[in-house]
Amino acid sequence: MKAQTFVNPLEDSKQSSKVTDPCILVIFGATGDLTARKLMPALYNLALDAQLPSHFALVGFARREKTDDQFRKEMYDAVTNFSRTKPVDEKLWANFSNQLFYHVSEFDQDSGYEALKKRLDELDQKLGTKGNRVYYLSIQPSFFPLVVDKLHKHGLIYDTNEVQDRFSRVIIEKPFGHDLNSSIELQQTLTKSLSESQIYRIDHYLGKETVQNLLVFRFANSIFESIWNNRYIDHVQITVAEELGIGSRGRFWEEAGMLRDIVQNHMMQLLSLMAMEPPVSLNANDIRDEKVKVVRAIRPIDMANFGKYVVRGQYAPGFIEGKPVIGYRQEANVSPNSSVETYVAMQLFIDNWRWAGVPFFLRAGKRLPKRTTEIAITFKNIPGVLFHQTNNSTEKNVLTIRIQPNEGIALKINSKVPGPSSPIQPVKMDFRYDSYFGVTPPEAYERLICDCMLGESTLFARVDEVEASWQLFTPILERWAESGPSDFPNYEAGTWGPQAAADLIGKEGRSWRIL
Amino acid sequence: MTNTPSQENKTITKPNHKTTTACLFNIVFYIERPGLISLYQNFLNILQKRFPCRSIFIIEDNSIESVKWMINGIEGAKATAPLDQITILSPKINNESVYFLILTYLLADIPTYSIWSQDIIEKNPILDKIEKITSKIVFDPQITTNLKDFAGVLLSKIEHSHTSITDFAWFSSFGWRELFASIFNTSEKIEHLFHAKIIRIRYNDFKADGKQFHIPAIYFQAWIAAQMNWKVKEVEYIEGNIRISYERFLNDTIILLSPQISDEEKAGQITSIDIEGIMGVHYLFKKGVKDSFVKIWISYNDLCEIPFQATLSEPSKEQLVLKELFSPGTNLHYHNMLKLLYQSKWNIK
Repeated sequence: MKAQTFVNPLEDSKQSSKVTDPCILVIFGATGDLTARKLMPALYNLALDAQLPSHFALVGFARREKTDDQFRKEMYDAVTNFSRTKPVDEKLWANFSNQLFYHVSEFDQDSGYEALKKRLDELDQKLGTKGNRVYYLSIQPSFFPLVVDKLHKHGLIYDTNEVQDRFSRVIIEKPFGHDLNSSIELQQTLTKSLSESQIYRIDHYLGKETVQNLLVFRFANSIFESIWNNRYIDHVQITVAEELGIGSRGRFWEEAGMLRDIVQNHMMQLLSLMAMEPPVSLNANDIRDEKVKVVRAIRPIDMANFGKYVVRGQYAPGFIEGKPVIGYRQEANVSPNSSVETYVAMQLFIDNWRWAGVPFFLRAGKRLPKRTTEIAITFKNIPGVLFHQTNNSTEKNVLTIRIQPNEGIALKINSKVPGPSSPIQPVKMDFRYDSYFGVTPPEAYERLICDCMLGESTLFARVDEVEASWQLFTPILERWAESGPSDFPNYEAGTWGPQAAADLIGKEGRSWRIL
Repeated sequence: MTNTPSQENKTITKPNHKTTTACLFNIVFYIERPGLISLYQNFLNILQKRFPCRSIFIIEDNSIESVKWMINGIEGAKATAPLDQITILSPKINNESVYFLILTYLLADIPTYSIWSQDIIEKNPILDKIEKITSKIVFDPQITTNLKDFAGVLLSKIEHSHTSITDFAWFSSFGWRELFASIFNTSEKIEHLFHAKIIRIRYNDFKADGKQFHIPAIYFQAWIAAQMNWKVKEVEYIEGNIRISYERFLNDTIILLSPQISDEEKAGQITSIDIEGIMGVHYLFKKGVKDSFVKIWISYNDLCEIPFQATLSEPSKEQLVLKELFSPGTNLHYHNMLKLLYQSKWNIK
C-alpha cells in the first residue's frame, strides 16, 4: 500500500513565501569580508521581503572573541554600508537582530563543535527551527575538509539515508579545486561526510537576475528557439571585463589566475545556459543535465595548434579612466617575474547538432577599459541581394544579453534612415532592467541563500559540471605551466587585451566587439 | 485641464527624453470616497518606485456635471523613466465616457490591473466593462456595508465572468496564514485544528477614519473554516464580540472574535489566537506588542511542549499586492474563503 503524502490544506503553494522550512544558518568565517559585504545584507533584504522562514536563526562561527551583541552591532554596520536598500528599516532590524547569534571557536577544536551543537539544539527549542541546518563555509577552501569532517563527527550533519525529518546542507564557495585532480580529491573528501544532495556549490553568477533570465528568455519566448542554432548564428562572444586590477588579492591571484578565477566557472555557466537544449522540466537535475551536456560537447583544445585557440595576457602599466595605474607585476604580493595571466581569450566549438561550426569566443580580463559582462550572439548576414544593389551596407543582427552593468537585452537591427534616399543604419531595440523594474534587483546571494534553504539546487553547480569544466581546462593549465610566457606583460591596462587576442578572432574575418 | 486626449497623449512621451518610456503595466484606480484619494496616491507612489506603470485614477466627484481629466507626468526615481498618471473626475451618473477615455490612455501589449475602491454591491457599468480588459482586480471590502453580498458579487464575477480577483483585506492576514501553515504542518496537527472546540481570536479594533477593522479577523477565521471544510451554522453578535458556530463532522466549532483597543498595534492586527481542542489539546499564539514575534505554546493532555517563538511575516501591502497581481488567476484559498463568507450575514457596521 502506497504511503499517502500529506498535503497541508493551510499551505497556499501559489501565495506562500518561498521558504517554508524553518532552519538555522551557520556561517563559518562570519567575521570575514564576504559576510559583511554580501551575506548579511542579503539576509537582511530577505527579511525585508518576507522571504525568510518564520522560524529562523543565524549563528556566526569564527575565531575572534565577540559577544552576540557585538556581532549584531557589526552586522548592523555591515547592512548599513552594503545593503542595496537604504536606509535600514530600524523596526525590522530590531526584530531581525534578535535572531542573530555568535559562536567562538577554532575550526579544529572539537569542544567548539560540541558547544555549537548544544547551542543549536537550544535555539531549536526556543525558535522552532526543528533541527534543520545550513552551513555556509565562507572560509579558505583548504579548510573545507576539516570543517565538514568536524561537523560530521559531532552529529551536526545528518546521514540522508537515516534522517528524513530534518535536513543539513553545506554551501561552499569556489574554487572547487584548482585542477581536475584536486577537484576530484575535494569531492571524494566531502562525500565521506556528505551526499551530493547536501552540497551546494555557489557560483554567484547563477544568482544574478539577468543570468536566471537567460532560461526565461530562451524558453518562455517562442520566437527565438527556431533561430538559436548554427543555421542562423554566425558566432557568439562572451565577455567578462573588469576595469579593476587585482587590488589587495595578490597572494590569491598568484595561485589562481584568470582561467581558474573566472573562465572555468562563471563563463562556463554563461556558456552552458546560453547553449543548452530545452530541459525536460524546470527540476534542478533536468536543467543541470542539459548544462553538463554542453560542457561535455565542447571540443578539447587542439594542442597542436594551441596558440590559434587560446591566448593569455597580463596587464602592464597603463591608464584607466584617464588615471595612470600600475602593471600586474608591480602589484603588492605579486612576483616581479610572475607568469600568471590576468587575461584569457579562447575559441571553443560545441560539437553537437545545434552548434556544429559555430565558434564561441570567450574573453575575460582585468584592467580592461570598462566593467562589462555580456553574451553577444551575432547572426549570419543576409544573402547578398536587395540592399547591396543600392550600395547599402547592412550590419549583422546582434542580440546582446547584458549581465552587468545596465542589465538588459538589446537587439541590433537595420533600419532605414528617414528621408528620400535609402541609407540604412543599425539601431537598437533595448530592454533595460532599470527602466522597467525601477529599483535595483535582488543581489545574487539573496536568491542563492533562499534557494539553499528551500532545497532548490538549480542555481548551484553540480559535481559533474565542475569536473567536466576542469577536464576541459586542466590541459590548458598544464600547457601553460610547462613554459612561461615570453611576452608578459603583453597589454596595457586600459586597452582591450593583447594583439594575439585580436588575431585569434580576426583569423576568420571577425573581430571583438568594442564595448 | 485639457479636453484633447490624443494631443495630451503626445505630451506624455516627452520629446526631450531620449529614452523610451518604460512601463510594466497599466493600473486603473476607481475611488468612490474622496477621503481615500491620498491613501491610494501614496500606495501608487510606492508601487511606481519599484515598477514604472501607467496609472489612471477615476475619482467620483458629484459636484461636476460631466467628466473631466488631466495628465500629470511624474518623474520616477531614475530620470530615464518618466511615469504617467491620468486623473479622471467623474460624476456618479453621466459617466458613460469614462470607459472610452480609459481605452484611449491604456498602453498596448502590457497587462492592465485595477484597484477598485467602491461598494460593488451597487452596480457600476464602468466596472463591468473594465473587467473585460483587466488581468486582475483588487477590491476593497472596507467600503462595503454588506460583506455577504460583497462576497456574493465577487463569487459571481469569478464564476461567471471569469475575472481574476482579490481584495485588500485578504492581504492583512497573510502573516498569520503563513504562520498557521508552518505550525499546523502535519496530519496530526491538522486533525487537532479540525477538531477544535473553541478558537478565540483577539484583534485590535483601534478605530481611525471610520474604517472597519474586524474584517481582517473575519477573513482569517473564514479562511481557517474554509480550509477545514466547516459550514457556517450561526453568526451572533454578543457585546461587541462576534461568535460564529461552525458545523463540522459530528460536533461544532465555535470561533469567537474579540476586539481589543490598543494604539500600539496596527488597527485590525490579530494579537492572539487561542485554540482549545479535544482531549486536552491546546494551542496559544501571542503576538508581542510592537514587534513581529509570536510566542507559541502547545500542550496536550499529558505533555507540554516548550514554548517557542516564530516571526510573523509582515511584508508591506504594496509587496503583497504586487505578488498577487503578478500571480495569474484567483487565489484558490481566497475563493474558498469567499464561498464561506457568502454562507452567512456578517454585521460589519
